[in-house]
Amino acid sequence: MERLFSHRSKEEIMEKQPFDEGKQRVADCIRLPLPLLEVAAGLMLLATLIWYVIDARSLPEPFNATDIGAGGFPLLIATGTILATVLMIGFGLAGMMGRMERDVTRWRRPFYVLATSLIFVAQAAWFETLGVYLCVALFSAAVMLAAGERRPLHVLGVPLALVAFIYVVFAIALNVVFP
Amino acid sequence: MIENLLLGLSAFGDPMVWISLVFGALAGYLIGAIPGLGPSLGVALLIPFTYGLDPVVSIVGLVALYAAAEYGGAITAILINSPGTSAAVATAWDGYPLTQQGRAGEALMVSIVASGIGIFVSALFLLFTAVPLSELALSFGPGEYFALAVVGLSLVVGLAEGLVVKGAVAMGIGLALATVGLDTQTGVPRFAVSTELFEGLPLVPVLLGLYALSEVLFMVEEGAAAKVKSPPVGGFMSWNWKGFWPLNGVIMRSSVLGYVIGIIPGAGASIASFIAYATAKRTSKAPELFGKGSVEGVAASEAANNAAVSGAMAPLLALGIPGSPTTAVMIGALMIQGIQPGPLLFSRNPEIPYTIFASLWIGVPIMVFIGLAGARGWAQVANIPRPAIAAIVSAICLVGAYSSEGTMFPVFVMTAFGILGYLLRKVQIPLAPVILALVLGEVMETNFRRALITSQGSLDIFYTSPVTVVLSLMAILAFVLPAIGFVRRRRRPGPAAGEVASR
Repeated sequence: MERLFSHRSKEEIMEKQPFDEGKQRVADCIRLPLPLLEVAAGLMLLATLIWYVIDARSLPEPFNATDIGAGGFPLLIATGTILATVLMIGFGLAGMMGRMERDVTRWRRPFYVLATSLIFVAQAAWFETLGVYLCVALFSAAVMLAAGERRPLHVLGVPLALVAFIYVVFAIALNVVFP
Repeated sequence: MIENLLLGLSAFGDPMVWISLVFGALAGYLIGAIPGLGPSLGVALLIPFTYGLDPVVSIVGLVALYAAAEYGGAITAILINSPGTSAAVATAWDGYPLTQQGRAGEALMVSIVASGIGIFVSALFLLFTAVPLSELALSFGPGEYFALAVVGLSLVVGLAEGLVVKGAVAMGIGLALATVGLDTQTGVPRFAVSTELFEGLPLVPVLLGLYALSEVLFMVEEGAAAKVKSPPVGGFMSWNWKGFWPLNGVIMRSSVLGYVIGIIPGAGASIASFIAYATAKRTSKAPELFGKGSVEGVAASEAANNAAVSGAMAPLLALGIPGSPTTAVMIGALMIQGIQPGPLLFSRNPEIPYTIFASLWIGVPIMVFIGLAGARGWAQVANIPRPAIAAIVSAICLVGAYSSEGTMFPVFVMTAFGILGYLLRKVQIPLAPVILALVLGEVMETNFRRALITSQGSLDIFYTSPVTVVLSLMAILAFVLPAIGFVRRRRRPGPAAGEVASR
């Protein structure tokens, strides 16, 4: 596992220093070999495609003998995509065994990226409950904080300006009815 | 044609069209000048603002944004060596050295004027090629249409960055997603886990998620980056317009080249600018200046990447086949307005294509004016803190997805595709084929099945017509040539494994 996760260099430790106005702030970074990701993504895609094939095969047969039916085209797509996915997994395995170039992907600030993904899910889940303006104000501020902004004026000002913009453009000018 | 052209020009009698043009150009400059945000994301973000607007008004704004965003990328490329879009990379090669020599104003001036000429000339080509192409396409049957869609997709996959295999995987994902919903021929629900999916995946939320929301996650990765100090922009007033005349040849040549390359699906503005730059260097009297601060290099790159905008419009308008991610996003915008691009567009809704032609011409002086007047300001756009941009983009995505249908379902779709888009980009699976396949999937399936029914189930229909044979060969070559290139690269001793940015 040590090979998968990077050791932190001096620069990176420096990058973890607290953010101050205008200064670079990049927190920890996970390095993962690209071939490993290709194999993992390929396997997940393969599992989804198998479900897709099973579902396509269960679709009713065509009434017209010359038609391929509702499931025909999806089966063609699945065949081609499975082939491409298997090739991708093959290239990934070759890369893991050192037979091909082994690129490494950087996943910078993973905690914040995960937190932002959860913010997206939360804003979708609470959009109706909180209403558009409160939702935009709260979650925009949260996204800014996750993106590294620590200046209070910015964290407060930008969401408020956004709420005003959405009210004027969407609610007044475009007549969109929000929850 | 003249009558229709007048119809297109008459659309500008409506002040809303002018407002849309100016707003689109301003938004385009803004989006283009921010490194990392491109025209696809810009057009996707603008769609929510067009829901309640007249189709002509909205399409003028979208086209203006597309063209201006291609130019906007040049500003930061020239001033801070940070191309706003990939199409402006070649501009930075000479633009930034010019800035270092204290000739930033000259570089900006040349790039803005070359962009304007590039758009103007290519829009003329668009008029004279899209109309005949649409008339030719009227004679196409389902077999030809299916082959055309396959060519469009395979070129995008073949020209996609990275492995062709990943492009093919991306295409498969897009096509599979396109089959979700009621089968158009039999009405049977397919892969629809809820009733909301019966009409298929809503395109705009998918586009917002894949292009815009996933970009927010990349902005979060970058964190609050250090402020970039733009150098002083001088030399506007001192620049001698007579110095522009020697550039006429290179601008005209690059404009034609950009248009032709723009037509090819998947090629786009980036490839156009690289090829035009290389051609300009080969034909220049001072090739040694290229890469060290050649105004010819800036002019060639900018004329070509802007001309490619009109080129990408040709297959979209005439055939209904988007050749680039941005035009695929534009199809989504047109569909929302109830307009189906393709050969029938010229007879059913002539005001749309002809207003696009007119807006490209009328937009040129406006774009040049906005570019020149605001050059100093646009340079500052790159200084906008990333966290603020991330918050703005995510809020517009949220509100835009909700207002597309007035329900929560598109919001959930947008969120899911935002996270999926981030993960796909991390594994270096390109997004362009996903989007194009999603847009073209229904066209492909419908025409494939219609062709089979027409030919009584025989596959002859796909290789007996000369058009389908030529198109099928193109599709095969699009897959085979990159594969041959890959094998040849593998045989050569390659560089050591590198670290990739995964963007």
